[in-house]
Amino acid sequence: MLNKSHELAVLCAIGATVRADAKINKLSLAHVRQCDGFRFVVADKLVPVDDLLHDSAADISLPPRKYRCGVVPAILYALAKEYQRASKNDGTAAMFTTIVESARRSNSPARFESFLHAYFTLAWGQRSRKTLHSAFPCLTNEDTRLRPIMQYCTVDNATLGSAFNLERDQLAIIDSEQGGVIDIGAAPTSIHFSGTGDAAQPGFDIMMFQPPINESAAVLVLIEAKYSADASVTTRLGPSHVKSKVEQCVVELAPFLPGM
Amino acid sequence: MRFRSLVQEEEEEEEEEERSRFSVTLANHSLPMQDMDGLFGMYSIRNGVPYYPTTAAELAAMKAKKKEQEKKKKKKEEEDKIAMVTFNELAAMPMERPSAKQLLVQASNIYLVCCSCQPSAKGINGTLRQKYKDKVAVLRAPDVMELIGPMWQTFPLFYEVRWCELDHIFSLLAPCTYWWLYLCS
Repeated sequence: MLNKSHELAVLCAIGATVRADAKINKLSLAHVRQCDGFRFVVADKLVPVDDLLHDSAADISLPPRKYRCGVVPAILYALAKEYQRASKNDGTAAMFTTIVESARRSNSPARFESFLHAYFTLAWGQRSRKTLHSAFPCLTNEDTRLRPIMQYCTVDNATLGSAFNLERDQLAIIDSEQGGVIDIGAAPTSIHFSGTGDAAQPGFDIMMFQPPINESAAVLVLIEAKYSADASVTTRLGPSHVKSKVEQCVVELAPFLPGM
Repeated sequence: MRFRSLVQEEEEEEEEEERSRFSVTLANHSLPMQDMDGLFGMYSIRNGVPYYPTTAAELAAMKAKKKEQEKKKKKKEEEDKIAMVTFNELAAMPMERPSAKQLLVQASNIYLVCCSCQPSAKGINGTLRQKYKDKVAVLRAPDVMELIGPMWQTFPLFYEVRWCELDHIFSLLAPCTYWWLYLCS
């Protein structure tokens, strides 16, 4: 079934919250839930994202209104491999592989970065992650509409300054894995600035850029992954840690911002 | 016959000239190095360093040109001065004409999200919201878990996050355990 519906595969990978009466590529949710391998969790008590808020806890006895999508990850992995074998690579197959492979390893900051990159690349602009607030719940009051990510890349041992190039008067970045040139302004893009091993990356780890179109302005989200490889570390993330990151980001970004 | 002899004579003359040219070259090669200046007359050598002789006027023009270049360089350095600014200041700056190597994004539409697996204070986002006008936020470990959903939470990558949550419960229960130990003793 995942083979038939690409959107269903993506929604399961990102754990999207969908309404019980929703249809995904003409497939009703009730029908999908009966198939083997799918894991749909009642989401009425969970924080809803794009759709209407659930009224009160008193309605719990009623049939569930929302479900959290899920699938056995091995199925997702097999699907990604099948996509790659069939050369049916629309960009998401690689992300499916990355997200499963990253989550399998424990205590790895680099894997956490890869996981986040794959997750946000898949989730950005998809159902139940259509706005900035729903994709990043910590950004309250941000209802900017998101469009699905069309191009992505991973750049090894690079910062924004060293990775950006001018190709035919367009700001572009060279993909370390695929070797191609990506025009940043052409479509929503996600870039993973991968460090060396577990070494900390100066500035930020992931950049998600949505270029402007007629009705909406451009959006730029920088993501910093904070993962402690040492389980015994008890340091709490505080505003001072964030402040130093903000300063580094400003220094990194400033040369590429209009008016600077 | 006469014609052939003329041709032969010409060839002989050319051979002779070539021989004499070759002998001059050989002689030149055997000359000491300082005479090279006289031979070519193109440049001079002072203390082993070749230089082009210049008149006073040429020298003055060169100096003026150098000064002008230095002035231009200094002016450019002053214009390109790097200044540290905060996100708030960036947001307040007006947009100017964009150049090719720029991201066409307003500073007010730039966000920084820290996705944390480390423990963090509950009120951290309130502090950051005030300081950075809602542009910087922390996606705290429980929020990351909530966002990714139950499917990924069970994976080894997130063992530590779940352990931290358990650790938090243990720290809350700690006074009870001390009390229980006190009673037992």
